Amino acid sequence: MFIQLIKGIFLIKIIFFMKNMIFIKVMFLNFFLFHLLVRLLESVYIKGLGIFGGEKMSKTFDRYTGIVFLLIGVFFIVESRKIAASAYGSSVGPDIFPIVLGILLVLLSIKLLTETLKYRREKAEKEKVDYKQFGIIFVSAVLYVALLEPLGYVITTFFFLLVGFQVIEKGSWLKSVIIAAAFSAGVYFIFVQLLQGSLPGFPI
Amino acid sequence: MNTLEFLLNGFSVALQWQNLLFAFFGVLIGTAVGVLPGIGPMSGVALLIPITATLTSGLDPQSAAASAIILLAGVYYGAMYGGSTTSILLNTPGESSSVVTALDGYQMAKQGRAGAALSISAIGSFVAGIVSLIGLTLLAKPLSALALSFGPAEYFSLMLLGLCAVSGLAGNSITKAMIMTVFGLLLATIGMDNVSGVSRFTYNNANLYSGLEFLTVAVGLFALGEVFRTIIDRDKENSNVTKVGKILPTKQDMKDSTAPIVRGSLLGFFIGVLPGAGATLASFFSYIAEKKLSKNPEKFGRGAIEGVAAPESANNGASGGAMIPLLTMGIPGSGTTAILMGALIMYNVQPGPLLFTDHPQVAWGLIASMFIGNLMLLVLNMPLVKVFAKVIETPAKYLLPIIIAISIFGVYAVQFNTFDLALLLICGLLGYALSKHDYPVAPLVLALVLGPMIENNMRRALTASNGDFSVFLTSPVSLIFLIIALLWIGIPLLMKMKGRSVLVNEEG
Repeated sequence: MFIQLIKGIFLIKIIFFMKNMIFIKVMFLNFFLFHLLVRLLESVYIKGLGIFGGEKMSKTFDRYTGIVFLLIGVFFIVESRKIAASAYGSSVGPDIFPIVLGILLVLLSIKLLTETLKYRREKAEKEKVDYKQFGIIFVSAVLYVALLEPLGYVITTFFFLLVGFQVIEKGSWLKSVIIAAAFSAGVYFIFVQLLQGSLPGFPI
Repeated sequence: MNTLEFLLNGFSVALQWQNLLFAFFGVLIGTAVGVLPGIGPMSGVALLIPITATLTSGLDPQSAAASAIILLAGVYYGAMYGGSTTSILLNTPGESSSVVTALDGYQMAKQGRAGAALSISAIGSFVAGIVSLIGLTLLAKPLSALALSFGPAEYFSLMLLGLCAVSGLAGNSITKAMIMTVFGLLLATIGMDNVSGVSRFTYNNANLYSGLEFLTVAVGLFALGEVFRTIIDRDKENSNVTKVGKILPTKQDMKDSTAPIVRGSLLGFFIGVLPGAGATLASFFSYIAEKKLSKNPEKFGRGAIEGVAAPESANNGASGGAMIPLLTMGIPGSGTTAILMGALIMYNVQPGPLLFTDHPQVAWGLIASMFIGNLMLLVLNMPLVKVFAKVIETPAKYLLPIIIAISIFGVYAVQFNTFDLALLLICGLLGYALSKHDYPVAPLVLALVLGPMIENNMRRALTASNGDFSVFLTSPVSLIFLIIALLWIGIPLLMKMKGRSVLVNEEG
């Protein structure tokens, strides 16, 4: 009686397992077919909706990146060959993966470079970009990072935020000072005092 | 134990008071992230990793991982709720999966039906969230059982498929997406090789021995990249926020949107499960489907509630569906899930088939918390819609520098060195320049996370076969994966050659 029960359970388990397998196979197939369907449908309808219209292609930028990635690929191939090749008598050492990837990157960059030749002529569309504002913020971020350890968290964060607020939009100094002070002191207090974390404190 | 018991155990984890709190803050921050321009779900999740790391530092490793992932996942699906708010009220989507919502949502807002649109999208998101969670619960066991039967060769091919799928759908140019993927894989090789112990490309720089820190790269590329773009390309006009008006939808609204919500949820879920096809594609697609099915399609674009209900359900369904390949197989299908995976790895929890047996607390706790989190979002969003609408008015002046400061704080709090901060700023510049010129950054991060695993599985498979590369082709499962991977890249290429434009997933 007991053995029969176990046999019965076993049988049910096997049937269940097979069902699962079939179910999963069908599911995989369905996903795949569904995906193809999606692809076909969207290719038909996408033009009607016209949201993803604008092609953003910059010939010069793509040329430069193509060359840069080409060089990176070459660099990785050359440098990988210097890695001590063998590991534990296995024929597959630590150098194979980067070499293969380096070759792939070189091939892809060449493909990108040839594609830039086919780009239609760029429209001379002057974008209104504000690099001056960004430049100031980026430089202050670099200074912030560089001075974080010598000057401590609160002081550097305060000044960085103050500069950032005022550069993005000139406004009330008082409000900027209050928000910058509240943020830098608040983060420092919560993190160091309450959560026992460590941040560079104040210069001694 | 059966699935139901596991789920109940998960609830016992998720209902612990600190985890309820984590889920609550996760969805709250997520909604804010979705609402705020200049910060999307990817950067939101990346930014919060260091903060959760410090918050959970006192807990034991298992519950720390569970609590952290509960919060981070909350941010992820919370952002899907929040994204609709700006689409509807401002006509500027807070994140890319809400682009379609703006088509009809903003029109509804102009007609004074903003409240109805917002609440319908909250209801739709909730239904979709629950549908995708039920799917996740049912599929978790069979899928992870299947994945357990895979050897290294099968895993290698499956991961390759995941990468191909993501790069096939990201951005307008497959070449560029592939370049980013390969570049990410190359960056992943920097550091100590964990098979042979040989250091690669480190040049005696101590900071490089453990490899480029995934967190630094992700925060730099996504969060800083986005902030830099907002600073540079920001338009300075102030747009007016439409008044929310009456919140509850009318009976007619409910009747009209029931079917679209159900269809959108299912469609979103299945698209979400596919690697590479994320929430953006799902919302887009369900909108097209509704327009096609509708009796009077000319209503769409003029404030049809179906046009809000369907895409909003779809993008939430997709975000739930995207958790399936991540949790059961350890293959993230999108940029955000790649970041979630990186976070789990930081806690020494390897997502994949073993997750459900090794760390049931984490896996089922997360699933249960998502049920709770979705309920919280519904409760939060209905009455608080007006409050969140206020969040939109946060001046960029204060927001942008603070996001930079939070990024720097977060990376420093985890890494404790200036090297990573410098890397962070470089990645920020790269993220801006690359995504501006249509080089998708999501595949790069995905490759960075998957790189070590792909390499390990490849080398284990090759070691077992004595260096014979045909091992990837002789195993039938591996062969199938490779063929699908090839088709995934090949079909869009073919269609492009025929001169058709192909829809791409900008969210990644």
